[in-house]
Amino acid sequence: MRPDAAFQNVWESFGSCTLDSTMVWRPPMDIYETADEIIVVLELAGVAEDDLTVTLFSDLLVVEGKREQPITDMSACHQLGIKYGHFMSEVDIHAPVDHGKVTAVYKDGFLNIMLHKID
Amino acid sequence: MEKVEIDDKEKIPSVPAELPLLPLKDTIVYPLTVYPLVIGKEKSIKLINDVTVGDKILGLTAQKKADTEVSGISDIYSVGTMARILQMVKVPDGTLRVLVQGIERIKIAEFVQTDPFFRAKVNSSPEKTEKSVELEALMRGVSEIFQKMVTLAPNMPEELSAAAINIEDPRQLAYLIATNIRLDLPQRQEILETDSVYEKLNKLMQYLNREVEVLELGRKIQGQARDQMQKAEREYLLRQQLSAIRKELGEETDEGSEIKIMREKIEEAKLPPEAEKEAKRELGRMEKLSAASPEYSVIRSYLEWMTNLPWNKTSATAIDIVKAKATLDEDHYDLEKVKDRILEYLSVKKLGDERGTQQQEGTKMREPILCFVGPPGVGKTSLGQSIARALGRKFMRQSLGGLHDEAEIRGHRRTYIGAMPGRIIQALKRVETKDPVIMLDEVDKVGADWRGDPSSALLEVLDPEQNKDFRDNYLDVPFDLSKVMFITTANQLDTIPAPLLDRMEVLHLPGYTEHEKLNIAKKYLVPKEIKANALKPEEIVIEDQTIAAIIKDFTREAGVRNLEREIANVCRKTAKAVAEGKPTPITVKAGDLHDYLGNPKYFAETAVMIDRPGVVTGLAWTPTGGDILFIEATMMPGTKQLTLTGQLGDVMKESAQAALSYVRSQTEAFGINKDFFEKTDIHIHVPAGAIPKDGPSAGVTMTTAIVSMLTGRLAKHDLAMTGEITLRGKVMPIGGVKEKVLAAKRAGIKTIILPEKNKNDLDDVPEDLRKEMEFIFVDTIDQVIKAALKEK
Repeated sequence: MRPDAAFQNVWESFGSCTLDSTMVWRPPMDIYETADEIIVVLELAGVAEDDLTVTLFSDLLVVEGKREQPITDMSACHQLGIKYGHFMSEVDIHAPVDHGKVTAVYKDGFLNIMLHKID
Repeated sequence: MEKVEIDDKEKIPSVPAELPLLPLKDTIVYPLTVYPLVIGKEKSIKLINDVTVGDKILGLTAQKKADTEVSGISDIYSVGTMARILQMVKVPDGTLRVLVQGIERIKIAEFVQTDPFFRAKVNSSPEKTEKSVELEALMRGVSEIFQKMVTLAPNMPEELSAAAINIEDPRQLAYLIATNIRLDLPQRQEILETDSVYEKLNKLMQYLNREVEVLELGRKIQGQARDQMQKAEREYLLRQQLSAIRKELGEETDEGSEIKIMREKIEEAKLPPEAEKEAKRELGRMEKLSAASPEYSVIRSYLEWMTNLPWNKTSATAIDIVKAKATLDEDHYDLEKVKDRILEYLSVKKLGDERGTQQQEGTKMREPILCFVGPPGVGKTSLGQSIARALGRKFMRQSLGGLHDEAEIRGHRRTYIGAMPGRIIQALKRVETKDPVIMLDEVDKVGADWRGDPSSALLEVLDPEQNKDFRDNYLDVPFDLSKVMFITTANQLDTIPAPLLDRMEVLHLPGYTEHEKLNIAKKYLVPKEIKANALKPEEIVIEDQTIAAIIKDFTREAGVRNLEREIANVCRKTAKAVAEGKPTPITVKAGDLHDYLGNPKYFAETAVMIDRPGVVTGLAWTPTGGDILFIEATMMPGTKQLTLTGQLGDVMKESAQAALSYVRSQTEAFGINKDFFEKTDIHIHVPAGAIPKDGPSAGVTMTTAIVSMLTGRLAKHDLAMTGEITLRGKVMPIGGVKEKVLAAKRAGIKTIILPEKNKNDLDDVPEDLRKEMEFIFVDTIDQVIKAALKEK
């Protein structure tokens, strides 16, 4: 990938070039809806499960955590393209969901959160 | 929506004692903001490489001067920002692109290392955030204006607005705004170094207001420019469509073709250089205008004038003197002196043209302007026409009578609506040649008022030195009038301004004798009127005596206008008779005139007037020809008063006083009581009372009238006199001899007393007249009295 393009992506994912010092980056996120569920998918490779927190508030889903650089022992760094540090994602939940029935599965770098809709 | 409270403290790294220090040119990275940097300097690259391998934390601060190399701590600002590297990419040209995030404000104490890159001792330098209602209000205000600015600015993404709305930390808001507005380096640094967050926001508020104003103004100006451009574009498109529609309809009023036609016209006209330049310039202007603009039609009129003027066309044939003489004789009876002068002028011109003597400077003959002076109806205008015919030139007549406005001669400037060139140029356009004969009638009646002095404009027109480059105000380019032959006419010379009179050569046409009138009538007037009244020449016969009777009884004029009118009356009545079926030819006898023309209008006045002593016939000159007048003198008891009536001018009044004084000094010689004036009043009256009179030539007449009254001797009734008097009794010469003689003849006078010095003037009088009348030439008043008064 051309270096400029890499930078563009960075720009976009950092949005409006302002973050507070607590949050450094935002993971890419999909939101789907089926007849019974709302499914939220985050791309979160390299995050240890212990460093990951998913919290469901009355109408807000918050996913936060941190990703550590796996290799820190080096003589030179030629490129830093992967985002490390603290992250946070917030999702507004518009449909009423069952707060008791929430499942989250972290597999192959994807975090899948399923929320059951209440009619 | 609930916001999550997160424990900040564990996530924000603390400020170490030392940091690698990267000096930035013209850039300041604030805490809580993310910023891209381009790293090119070798030192800086080494720093970044070192930092990325480690904990990715570094210190950033701005250089005070962008163009100098940093060598010591005085070259950088001592307040900077601790930041972490988020991303780093190496570019093929050797530079690095680094994305940094500002974390906290730091103070730089001193350098501890300068090679291979800078390291410095640093301290945390937190800002002051005092939460208060004012701060909250200020935050809201600043946020609003920032959002407005984002909307107005073309290169700021709308996400910035959204970000500003979501920020709750005033410090973060201040730094976000500071990063995104135009400030110079010292201003940016000031925002960083200001400790109070409230103050930061305040300062930013000012900058934001300024930015918004500038942006709003810029938008307004752009909007206006855009509107204008759109309007112009739209108009152009519509015009193109209109032109296409016209073409379809077959109305080829294509502006382009009109311009082309005009261009061709200009080429054909072969204008002189200055005129051509001006015409082409105007054509260029016309091209750029649309046909609807009023300027367009103004320029088009102008160009039409320019191309229709006869810049080069002449019509004069070579001058043939013999033919000219024949033409003049054909058209006019007698007027020998005038015709001779005209032929002389033409001969000189002919020789000059043939021999080229006129080309030499200094010897160039000034062409005189001929001026025909005479009473109305003597043929001044027809003489001009005749001259034009003899020369093969076009003839144009312009009456200047009552002309007040100088612009009539010079034209109006094109800037005036409805402007037109002056009469001279208009005349030239009409005759289509540049060498016509232009007759300027009634040049003695040109007025002068606040609008200008037309006679001064005439000076330029008539001066051959000047009129070669005559500038009409409308044309604004020189036009050559030097080939035009100007002739002027006037009834009198007194009212012509001296400079103008000076340029002209005066030819007198004093009027005709009865005999001349008869001949004119027979040769010209009668045939003309017969034709004009639809008669055939064989249907009417007017005898010579009839014509003579008309002249004597029905006209009293120097010219032949009234004669022509009366003849027309006769012809008209005859036409009526012929139309009624009366047998032809109809002969008009002198005795029948009563039926045709009514009662005779004029009859010899003198016998009637002179029926008592104290009345004497004199001779006067008027613009309409000569005339007789009567001086009446009467006496009554009184107290030495002299009364003068009859609308007399000052000169005439003085003449009367001189007459009286002479008589009083000569009482013995005349046989009058020497005290005659002591107990009397004398009244001298000159009928008719309504006509103003002036001049010294009635001096002898007045003296004779007074003597006649005092001695009781009657004056001869068929005798008239004229002459100026001096106190010694001498008779001085006078003017207008021919007119006076003609007038005397018309009135039936048989004897005329003239001053001796006027003897030679009699040569002007036709010979037959001289033979018919008796002339007495006098030197002194005694001779006058002796000749004029009958014995008691």
